[in-house]
Amino acid sequence: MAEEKKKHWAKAFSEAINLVTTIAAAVGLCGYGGWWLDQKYGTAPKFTVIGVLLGMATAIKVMWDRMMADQHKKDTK
Amino acid sequence: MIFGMWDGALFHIGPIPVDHLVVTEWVIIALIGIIAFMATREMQSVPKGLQNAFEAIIIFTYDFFTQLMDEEHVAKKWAPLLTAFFLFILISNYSGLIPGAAHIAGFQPPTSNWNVTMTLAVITFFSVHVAGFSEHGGHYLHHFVSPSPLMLPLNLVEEVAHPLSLTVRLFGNIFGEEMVIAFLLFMAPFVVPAAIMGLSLLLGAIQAVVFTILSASYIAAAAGKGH
Repeated sequence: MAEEKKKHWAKAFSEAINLVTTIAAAVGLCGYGGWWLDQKYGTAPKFTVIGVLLGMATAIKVMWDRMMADQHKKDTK
Repeated sequence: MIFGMWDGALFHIGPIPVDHLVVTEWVIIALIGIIAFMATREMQSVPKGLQNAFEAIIIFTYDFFTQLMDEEHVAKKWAPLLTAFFLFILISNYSGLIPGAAHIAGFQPPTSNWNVTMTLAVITFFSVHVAGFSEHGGHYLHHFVSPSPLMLPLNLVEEVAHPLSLTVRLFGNIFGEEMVIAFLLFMAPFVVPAAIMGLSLLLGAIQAVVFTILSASYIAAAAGKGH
């Protein structure tokens, strides 16, 4: 039981870190991609804005999926 | 050398440049290989010594990944890769604490370079999709357009964000730690860096555990019944 708790703690800790860094990576990746396109085609700030919005939408989706997975686990218990 | 980090090739094998950290990686791989060889060269039905220790590690990792990944056959299939990740990252992280790290030619902690962490993350990326296809076949592609085809761009960004976050987190932590130690060694060479080095022991293990558990979670999610 204690060992199981320890493993759940490790998983929860990793997933918490993962959630934060995945959100940051999604926003950063899309924002940078948009900025790169703007530099290439001289369209600033259109693609940067679109990229950041896409990144934020992905971040919301990642959080939503996480919440739904937790809810599903609770319901099946 | 740039502030505690070697820059450029150590030597060339024909036209191929060999970096300082590549040499360190070879040493780490050889070290793990030699220990594994010594543990398994004279296998006995009643294990003792190094064989006993290795069997205990294997049983622990199989149990750990089975609980983490929910499905035993998936855990058994991927535990060797995940255990190799853990051992390689742990020893790489700790290699930065050995006196002379980043100062002796050919001795550069591998995980303090983003090329290495990205390579590990790319292996995870492909492993996730191999696990998904091997468990679900062509039906695995359905999760990219789930719950609606409109979600395809978001799902694709998420797939790329996973390895990127694995890369940046491991590299950032180990590189930052190396920088702090190098700076402290320069400013106050005695006693003060010891505190950060003590903290590095903990951080090195945590980063190895986090990378391994997250890789296992991604593989389990791709191979799981949710798809």
